[in-house]
Amino acid sequence: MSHTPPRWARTLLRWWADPNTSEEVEGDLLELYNHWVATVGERKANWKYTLNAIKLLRPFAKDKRSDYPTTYLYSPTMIRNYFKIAFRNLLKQKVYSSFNLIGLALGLSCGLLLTLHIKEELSYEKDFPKHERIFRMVTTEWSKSQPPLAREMMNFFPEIQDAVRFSSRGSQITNNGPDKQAETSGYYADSSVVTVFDLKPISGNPFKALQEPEAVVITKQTAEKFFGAQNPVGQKLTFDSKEDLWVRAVVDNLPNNSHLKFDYLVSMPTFYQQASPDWTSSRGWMFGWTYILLKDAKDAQKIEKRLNDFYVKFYQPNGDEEKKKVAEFASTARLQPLTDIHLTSNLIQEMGPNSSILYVYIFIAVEILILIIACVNFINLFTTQALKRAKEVGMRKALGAKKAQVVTQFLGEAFILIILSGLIAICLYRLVIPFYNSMAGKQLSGWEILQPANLLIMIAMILFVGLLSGLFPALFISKFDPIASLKSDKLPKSSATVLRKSLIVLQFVVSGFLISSTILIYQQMNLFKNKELGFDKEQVIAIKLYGNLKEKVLANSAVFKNELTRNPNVAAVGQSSNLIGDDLSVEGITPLNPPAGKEFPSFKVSRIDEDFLTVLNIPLKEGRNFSRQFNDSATFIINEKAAKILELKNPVGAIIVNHSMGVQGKVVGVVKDYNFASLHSRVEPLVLEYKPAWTGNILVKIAAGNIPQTIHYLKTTVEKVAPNTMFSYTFLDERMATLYKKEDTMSQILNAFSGLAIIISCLGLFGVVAHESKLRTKEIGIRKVLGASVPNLVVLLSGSFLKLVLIGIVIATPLAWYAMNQWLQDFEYRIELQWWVFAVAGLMVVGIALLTVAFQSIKAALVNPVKSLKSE
Amino acid sequence: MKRTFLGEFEEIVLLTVAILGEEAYGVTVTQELEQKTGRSVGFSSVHTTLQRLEEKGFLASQMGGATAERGGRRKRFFTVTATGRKALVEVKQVREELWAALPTQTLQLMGG
Repeated sequence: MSHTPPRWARTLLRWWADPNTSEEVEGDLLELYNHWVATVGERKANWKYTLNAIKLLRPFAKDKRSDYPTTYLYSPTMIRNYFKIAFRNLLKQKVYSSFNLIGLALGLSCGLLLTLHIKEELSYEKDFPKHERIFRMVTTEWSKSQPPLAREMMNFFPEIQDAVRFSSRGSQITNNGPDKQAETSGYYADSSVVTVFDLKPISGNPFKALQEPEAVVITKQTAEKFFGAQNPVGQKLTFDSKEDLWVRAVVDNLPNNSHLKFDYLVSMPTFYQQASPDWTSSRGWMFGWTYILLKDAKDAQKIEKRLNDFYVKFYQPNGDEEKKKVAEFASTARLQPLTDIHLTSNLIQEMGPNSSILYVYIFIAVEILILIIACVNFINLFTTQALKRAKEVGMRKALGAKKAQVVTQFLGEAFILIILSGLIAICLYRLVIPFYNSMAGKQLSGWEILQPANLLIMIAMILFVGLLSGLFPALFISKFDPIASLKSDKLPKSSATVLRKSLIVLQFVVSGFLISSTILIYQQMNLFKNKELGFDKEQVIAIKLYGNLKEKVLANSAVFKNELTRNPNVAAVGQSSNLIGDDLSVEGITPLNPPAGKEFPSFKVSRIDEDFLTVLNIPLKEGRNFSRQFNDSATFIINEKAAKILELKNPVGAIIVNHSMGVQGKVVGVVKDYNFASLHSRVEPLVLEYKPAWTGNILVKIAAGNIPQTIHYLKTTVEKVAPNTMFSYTFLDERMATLYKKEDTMSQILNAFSGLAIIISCLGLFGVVAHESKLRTKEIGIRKVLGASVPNLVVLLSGSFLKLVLIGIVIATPLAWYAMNQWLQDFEYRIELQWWVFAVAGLMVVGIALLTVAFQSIKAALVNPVKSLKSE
Repeated sequence: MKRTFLGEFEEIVLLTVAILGEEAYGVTVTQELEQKTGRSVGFSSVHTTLQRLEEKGFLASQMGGATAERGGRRKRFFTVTATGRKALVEVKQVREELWAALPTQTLQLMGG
């Protein structure tokens, strides 16, 4: 009876035929079918069977003979039995169970960490109730805008409800009395900040306060820092030892998940008092950040379309030339949604460094990969373990268990395991969160996991993992044929071997991928740290000049510098307006008498003194350094790039004009291109102007060795010059490392996670190898009796698994190569992808897998054949 | 006299059941019909007719023992009831009366 009628027709019949006669009908049809096969052939028989089956469907017939009550399948006794069996099995197979639990718990806790990390990244600005309607006015290059923009826009666009401007005050030393001082940073801000960003007043009226001159509104944290338990309202705060402002109100701290960070806000009228009207009414000065609040978020596009009209009114251009320029500018302007700033904005002069959506994607990818590995692991181990219970399944089925019951039982067991590992995962998560926070620079709180939303994520994750990894083994096991599984003495050979093998391959594809990516990222980070930058960043200390100290030093820098160099450990002292990696001032510079119609890009400008180049050891290509010997006011040194862009054939001696500052002067020297910004970008044109009076940093080159003593000397000197000032310093190389913090963080996180990935994979491999060697106990015994040596057997047992690992690596390599190539496109200076990296990654994976496999195989190979052959 | 109407197909099926005696169930009835009448008979129509005849009271049925070849499913055996027999006899009588009433000439023309 090799022929069976079409399965779907049979199913159809079983489901929809008249239940009263279904038994004999099915039987009759089967008999007829066999008759047909014999007489008219299988094809026709199939057709006839189907036709008859369809004709016999009585979908609405009801069973008239339901005299017997059906047993309730999920009776409490049965369920109790399931639990009992589940726990007995867990305890019986301690190694398997713990491997399974640990593997899954590791996977789940990684998943939790990354989910919360991603959730936090995506939650930026969402704590501001009006976040959907707030936009920042930016251009394709600039994040800042002009002082009169906010008011003019509000007059022009009726869709705008309100607007806020922020202007940075940088970081300043603030004191309240001589003993209470600290570094703080804040902004000048319009009073509308209170309503637009919904700042919660704690005392005073911040809205009114920000309309008064010389008023400052501080956050709760700042209030506690400076005033402790006292009421801060009405008190005085001194900024940089010269500016007295009065605290008029206190507002609640800002949410952490915002790009907007400040300790205090100074009222905008104060700014208007301090800055000259020329500046505050300038329509070309990018003074600060303008945020607008729309009545309806949908109006943003409408406004963007009319921006050109607006800028025409704003600039009142005369003549075609100017009109063209305005149109060009307007075409770059746009409204940037507040919620886009943290993840996607990377414009000139942002308020602070932002994150990148790319990293969110990478983390999502890693999370999914790790969860997949954990699931695969679970599937493998659970299936292997369940194979041993074929007899139990056979017995259950013989006693009347339905397939659905067996499925439920095993799925339930899978869920028990997964829920247990979920609990372990929460504990693990709680344990590692401090390390993770310090590594990723996040403020995820440990107990945040117990918030309803996060618990929901957790439950969703458990359900997902449970269904994904429990369903397959359960379905697979429930298919066991009771007769075969009860009859055979051997453990049944899994028909799912191919699947299990491909799952192992998949695990090692992921591990191989993660490990080679980690190595490449590490290499790229090393490139950042060790690349020849064109200057010497070692042993350079940068001292920030504040208030009192700044005045004293700038008034007579020669004396201060002499004082410092008296110490033999101090090699040189220079001054500069910006440190390496800072946002430099961007100014319009052209040669004198530029060729008509020629456009020049803007230039980065830094102000330095005559010793700056010496301290950083930046070589001059031609010309000379600035010097006190000459009258060097209004002289410039430019870099090679700038010389090229300005098209100066003989740069030394050429006159260039700084239109932004309204000065012109002679170029006295050309420096070699050095990387004054991060290595993400190519060296840009740079102009160095001799203007010690405008500098804000002292750079000190010190001798190696005895660094603490030298620092102490610097500190006492600073205190001698300006008593009661804060001595704030950084090492230049450390500071530069922060430029690559984002990559560094990612590299560390990936390191940790790829380590975990391989651990989880190996746990799975270990379990499967253990099972396989148990299956082959007798075979190994016979082989030994016939003269196989232990190494022979180890090779035999490990070989098949190592092959899988190798296949995994072969698949992983091109994937990793492609992905890393994409990532590297982000950097101007990048490593070459070399084949040996992949070889090393592959060897590492093979090595670790070999250790796992060899342990089990050696154990199996060493067993006394007498014992193994006797075993039943 | 109230007479139960018996359709042509019903009549043949009823007759076949009677012919098969102890061995009448879906498959045998279908096969017998096909053999005897030479026309292709669908099992589904046979099954439906058998059901209908049982509902009308012409047939009675009981389940037989399980056999391996049918995947362990039992057969439903049919037997003709007294009413069924009476109905068959009646049909036969009507036919015979009608045949008898046929003029001899016509009978000859039909080649009888």
